Amino acid sequence: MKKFAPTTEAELSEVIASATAPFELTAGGSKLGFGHRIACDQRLDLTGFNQVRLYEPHELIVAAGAATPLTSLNQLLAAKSQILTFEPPDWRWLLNGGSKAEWRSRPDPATIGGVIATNLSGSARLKAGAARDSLLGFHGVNGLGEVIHGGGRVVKNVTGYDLPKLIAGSFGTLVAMTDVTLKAMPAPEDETTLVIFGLTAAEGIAAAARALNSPHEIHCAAYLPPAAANLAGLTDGAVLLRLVGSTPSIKPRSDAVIALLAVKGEVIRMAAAASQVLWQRVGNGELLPELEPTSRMQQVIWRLSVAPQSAAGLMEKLVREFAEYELRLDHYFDWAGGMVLLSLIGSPQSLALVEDAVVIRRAIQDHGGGHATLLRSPKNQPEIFEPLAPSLAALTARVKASFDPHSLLNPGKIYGRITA
Amino acid sequence: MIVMPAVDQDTIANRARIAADFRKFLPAESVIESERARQVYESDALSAYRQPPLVVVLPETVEQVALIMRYCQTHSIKIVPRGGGTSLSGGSLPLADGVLLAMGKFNRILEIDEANRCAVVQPGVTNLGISTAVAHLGLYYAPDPSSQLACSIGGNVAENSGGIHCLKYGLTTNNILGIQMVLIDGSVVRLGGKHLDAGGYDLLGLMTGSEGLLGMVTEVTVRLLAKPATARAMLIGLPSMEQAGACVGAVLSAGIIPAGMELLDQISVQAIEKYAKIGYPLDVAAMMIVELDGTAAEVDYLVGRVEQIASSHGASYFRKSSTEEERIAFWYGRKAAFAALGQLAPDYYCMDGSVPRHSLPQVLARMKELADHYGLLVANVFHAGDGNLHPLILFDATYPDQLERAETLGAEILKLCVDVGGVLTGEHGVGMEKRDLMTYQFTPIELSQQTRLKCAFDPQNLLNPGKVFPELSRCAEFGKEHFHQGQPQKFPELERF
Ligand SMILES: Cc1cc2nc3c(=O)[nH]c(=O)nc-3n(C[C@H](O)[C@H](O)[C@H](O)COP(=O)(O)OP(=O)(O)OC[C@H]3O[C@@H](n4cnc5c(N)ncnc54)[C@H](O)[C@@H]3O)c2cc1C
Repeated sequence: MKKFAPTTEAELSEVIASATAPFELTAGGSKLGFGHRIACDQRLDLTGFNQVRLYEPHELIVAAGAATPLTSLNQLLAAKSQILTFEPPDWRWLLNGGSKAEWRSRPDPATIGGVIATNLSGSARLKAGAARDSLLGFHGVNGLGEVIHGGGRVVKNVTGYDLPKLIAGSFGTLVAMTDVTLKAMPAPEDETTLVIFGLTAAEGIAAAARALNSPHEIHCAAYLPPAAANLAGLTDGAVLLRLVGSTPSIKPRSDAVIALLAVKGEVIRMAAAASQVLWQRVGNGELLPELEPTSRMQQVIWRLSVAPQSAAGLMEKLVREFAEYELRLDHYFDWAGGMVLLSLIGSPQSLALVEDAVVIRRAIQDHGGGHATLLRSPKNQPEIFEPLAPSLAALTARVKASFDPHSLLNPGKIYGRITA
Repeated sequence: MIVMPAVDQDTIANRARIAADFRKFLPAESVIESERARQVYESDALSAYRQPPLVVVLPETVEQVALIMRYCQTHSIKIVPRGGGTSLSGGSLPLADGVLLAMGKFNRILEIDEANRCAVVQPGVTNLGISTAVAHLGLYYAPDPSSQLACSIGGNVAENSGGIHCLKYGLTTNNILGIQMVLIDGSVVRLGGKHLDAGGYDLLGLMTGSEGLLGMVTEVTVRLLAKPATARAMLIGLPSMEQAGACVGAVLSAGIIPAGMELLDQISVQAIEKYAKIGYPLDVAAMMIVELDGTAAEVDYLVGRVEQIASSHGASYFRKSSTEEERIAFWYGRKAAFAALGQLAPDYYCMDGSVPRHSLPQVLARMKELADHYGLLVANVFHAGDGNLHPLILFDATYPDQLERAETLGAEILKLCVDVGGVLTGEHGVGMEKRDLMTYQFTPIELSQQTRLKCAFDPQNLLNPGKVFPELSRCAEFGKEHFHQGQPQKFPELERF
């Protein structure tokens, strides 16, 4: 494996311009398992681009080398009581398996560029937008070795195409990013989470919708079935509603939500610190079960993105369908129902038999549409991301070619076949 | 003067044939061919430029749009998409040899989905029409351009429009979930839907703000938000624009994100007051309008904090809305600013640069110098919270040199914005108006990258040519190698799995 580790845009540009074979792009390596394996024998190591270039708390912006560790960026912002509003999660366990505790004990090497490249957002995505919504600009090098700047440092910018949107979530297939400019936002003064017991998934998601459609400003909303709730240290299935804002507003808003939902069962009001930890675990996927180290079972993990109100019905259907196989199914809902994390555990034989991708994607189409992304699987699966309709696939290939005509950058990372 | 692409005389000579062809699949009244009727569409809100189109077509169904697009591609006829025609940058300015594809008949709200907090609408529905249709549910569509009575959601998507509330709630791009669109070859694709983060390339994000250059938007799924429990607006008078600029920064860095934060200079305040009689203070050099929304407890608390911050920046005048009528009146003045300033001179030219907030004082001072140099009056009404300037250059177009001076001054102001680290346009789009300044902000390499991207959607450059990009480089020039069925040619032997 040949490795290139440029440290300036000029070097990076030269490496790509003179390349005769494709590269796999890497930085922290925390999400290398996300997407297809890339068959190539050259690595483009971008860790050299790791300096914060500018932080202007008054302007609410931060610009940093794409390989700046997320943890150091978060610390920098925290010192000024600011945050990245999309609360990027740590997906090492989801993507790699093993022991959650062990992953937690190791420092997270994730870089901000990797977060942007995968458009990875946490629970706050519901109200605060995705990673792509916080990205104001980027610098990078395309597949022709050309240095490109997209967007800028101002919040409002409609000059030319919105390239930052396209680059976010492109998994390094269009541009090797060297630098990103992001919106920073004031950290909320205070927060709470209301934990409401005694509702089914359908009822819980409907309650979350009522709360979201009220003026009480719900920031995050999840529904945990009993097994996931137990992993969160809760006694039974529950709806989680997170409220953030100024301290004086938290209690009256919480009261109003509880009154609005006419909650009969038990409600817990979590203090700010506990609430933060809980949502981190929700976002990190930690409320799915992990395999015992000695287990002979295997685990598959999917992320489903659907219309929130279809989610409960969809999951009922999937539970029924997968019941025919000898599998254990676990799941929970985030983004007020719009996002489902799903785990299938079974013997290698039973997992080999089940056509999980087909079953899940067909059920989603029958439930109002959406998409499913494979996060981890012991078996080879051809379609990690939702397959595209023919005209969109052709368009996607042309977009890829417009940045990287020779398919040098992460070829096949997203779709395997169509080079993007 | 901005030069438009060379007119194809053959196409113009074929006008009657083309119109007749359209009538084969469109109702007769949906094809407008007569000179008088075409003149109705000759300009958008950048009314200094006028050009009646070749023909106007008013399709009613997606199938009709697809047929029109395919017909135009087959016959290499240019297309200019048009929504409400309120573009301030000449985005929907017709071409003499181009079909104007007007979406006025796509005016239905297809679905209001309260539980999923979204609505599915046709692109010709007005921005305000959406909020009005869902008001009874306590919901609204957040981006609120001042033109919201007239502009269409399709146009908003094409321009990535903002409004006074986008400081807190984001622009169009942050508030739509999906679109259906028709590509130039007539194929119909869906991006996104009622779910979030569609996966694959964010073509929805790319389409938003693409100014009609990549495809026709035929349906939009917008995100709806709950109306805030309360909102209060404050008028704050300050002794100078510089101090006002500093005050804006201080509010934000105190961790307060108001729903809107606008800044008006004295010329604007006085003009609005004369026009709308709201009770704006006439003796302040700068006036801020700050709106705070949320629950009552939160709003009152934040109003107090903003007042403190403003006092420490020398604010001499405060008025806080105590009723909804009063709040609306405060904003009415702001929304009527262009009309009010229009009373000061027969014509105005509205610029739209965006700058880093800390450079506001420097930019405002330099702008004043420039205005004096060109002997024109410039009024400033702008979205201060996000650094989006709207300098309004006042002039009288009956004197030909004044239009020219106004345009030169406008260009100077926009270059100034780029020089301080900002951009040419924050929300009004490049259109044809700022097209030739693109080379000032982007390198040739960056422009060619964007042009290649355009080619991926529209290889013949038929969609809204002459807008946004200065040169119409032909896609073929980028080398067949790049686009040979989307397959890379450099390493044909490589395994692509
Ligand atoms: C008084 C006034 C105030 C304004 N205030 C604001 C403001 O506060 N904020 C702001 O952002 N803008 C503002 N604008 C600018 C303008 O209203 C916006 O740009 C608006 O989004 C244009 O919408 P429209 O429907 O009128 O589009 P048009 O002017 O018809 O078209 C605009 C562009 O969109 C393309 N287009 C239109 N429909 C489609 C479609 N269906 N598919 C593909 N492309 C399409 C056109 O080709 C053109 O390039 C203001 C304008 C005026 C006149």
